[in-house]
Amino acid sequence: MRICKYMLIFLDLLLLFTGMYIVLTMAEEITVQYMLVFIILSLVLTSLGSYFYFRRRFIGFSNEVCRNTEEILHGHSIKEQQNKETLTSKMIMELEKIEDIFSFQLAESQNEKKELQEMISELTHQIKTPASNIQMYCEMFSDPDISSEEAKQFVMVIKQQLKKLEFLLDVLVKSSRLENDMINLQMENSRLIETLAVAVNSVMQKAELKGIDISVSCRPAIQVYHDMKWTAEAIENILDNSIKYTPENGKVLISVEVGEMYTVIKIKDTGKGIETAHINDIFKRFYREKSSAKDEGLGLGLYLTRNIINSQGGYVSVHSSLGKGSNFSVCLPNRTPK
Amino acid sequence: MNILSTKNLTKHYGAEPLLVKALDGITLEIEQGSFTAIVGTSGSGKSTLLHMLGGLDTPTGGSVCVDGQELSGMGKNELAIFRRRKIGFIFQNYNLMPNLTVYDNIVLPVELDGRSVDKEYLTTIANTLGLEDKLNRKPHKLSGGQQQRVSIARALAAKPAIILADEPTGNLDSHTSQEVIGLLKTTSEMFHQTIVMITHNEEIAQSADRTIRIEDGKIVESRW
Repeated sequence: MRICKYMLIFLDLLLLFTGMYIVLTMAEEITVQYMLVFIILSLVLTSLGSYFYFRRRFIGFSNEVCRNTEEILHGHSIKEQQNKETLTSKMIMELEKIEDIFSFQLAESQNEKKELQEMISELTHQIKTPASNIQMYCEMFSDPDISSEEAKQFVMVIKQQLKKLEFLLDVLVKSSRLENDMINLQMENSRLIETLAVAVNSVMQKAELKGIDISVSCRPAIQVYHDMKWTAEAIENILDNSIKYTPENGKVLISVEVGEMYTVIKIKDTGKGIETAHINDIFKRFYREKSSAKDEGLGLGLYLTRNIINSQGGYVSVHSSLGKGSNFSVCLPNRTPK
Repeated sequence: MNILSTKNLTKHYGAEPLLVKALDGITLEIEQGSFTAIVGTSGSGKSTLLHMLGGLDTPTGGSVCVDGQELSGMGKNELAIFRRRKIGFIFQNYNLMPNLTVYDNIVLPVELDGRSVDKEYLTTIANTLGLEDKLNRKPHKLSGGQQQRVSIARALAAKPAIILADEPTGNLDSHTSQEVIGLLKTTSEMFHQTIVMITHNEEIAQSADRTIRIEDGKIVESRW
């Protein structure tokens, strides 16, 4: 900018002096000489004049934008600059949009932070109980007069409490994965049926305990560009929920369809379904259905599922009504890597 | 915060004995960043309402307020700029320019505004919508579903604060519909966009934050 300015002034002066020199050394009539001098002078003046004019306009424009940016930063909308065909209006409206997006994201992340803190305090509270129970029973153990009958019972209780502790720690590990950057994807083109097998195997035991039948229908040839480990975890979480909310001897059906843009993994259960009013809440962090408050869990599974699938460019949707079971669809994009 | 609100909005055609009330006193508030589905039988006034919200049609009575601005107070030019910068329309019949390529169709709203195209974002949209290898074709060479996706890409290209969609999945099979809704939801989360969508599909209506049912130009049900 500065160089341009000096160049312009320099060129103007050059024009002035060389022009003058040529004109004055010409052996012509005096009036022609005067005319040429006048032309050169006016050229110099217009170019300098327009330089200073546009400079002032530009400074005015940037001042206006700066002033309005301050206003936007304070959260005010610039009423007089809306919907005009001017540069300022265009910039201001764009800035307002950016401010809006950022303030929304800020609020969102503050909210998340708050939730995370609440979860940690709840978890630590929950961990305290089994820990102090175990401590108490250990103390009772050190009493020399207990019968072997009592000792057996104490061991049972301690085992139970340890199981509870294990579950809570498992939740803690899961929640630490929730942060998006913890999900380190290793995408590769691999067969979907293998991923499904991993997911089904890890919930098989729970399903067998409740006598729930899991059936999978997937052509072995179907390949999708995805991360096997994480996708299996995502599907496992859905299956886990399906098994949890499906009564004994129910059914869980997994089927795979290849669409135009996505490959869809459908998970259908014969469980109790989800109330329409809460259907969008189930993917929220820490959302627990009121009626399931007594069951284990912290409402992290489906949130994690959605994060995993979203970060692979897919999405999860659910279709359900109360009493009729739920249909989850996990959609993974078909596109092949570049 | 409410980004869209209407107050006692009416649209009447004709005069008394043959008066048609397309909209009959609609008072509505739509929160920023939400996804609203409008349902109702055909001829109930859904499309009229959507056009009013986007300033494509003028009401006979009542007012529409978008992002703190009264639409009735705007001149024709001002309204055109407002639509260009704030609103993305997805029409049921696509409304693509037949003599422009897919790429030119998508960037049209951005270029009309004299802005430079965000190439990176555009590539992302084209990729997610599966249009990356069709950018140089003319719209009539594409299938209905693909044209629909082009019109969605066009609505998203300018990153508008509000997306108004008139049955964006009307001509798509149920499977592709779900894909399209998924895409809309993802981008709206990214840019804090508000979506108002007319739909006949119960499944889509179910996945919205809020459903509004309109019959005979009146809101008969509003469910969160």
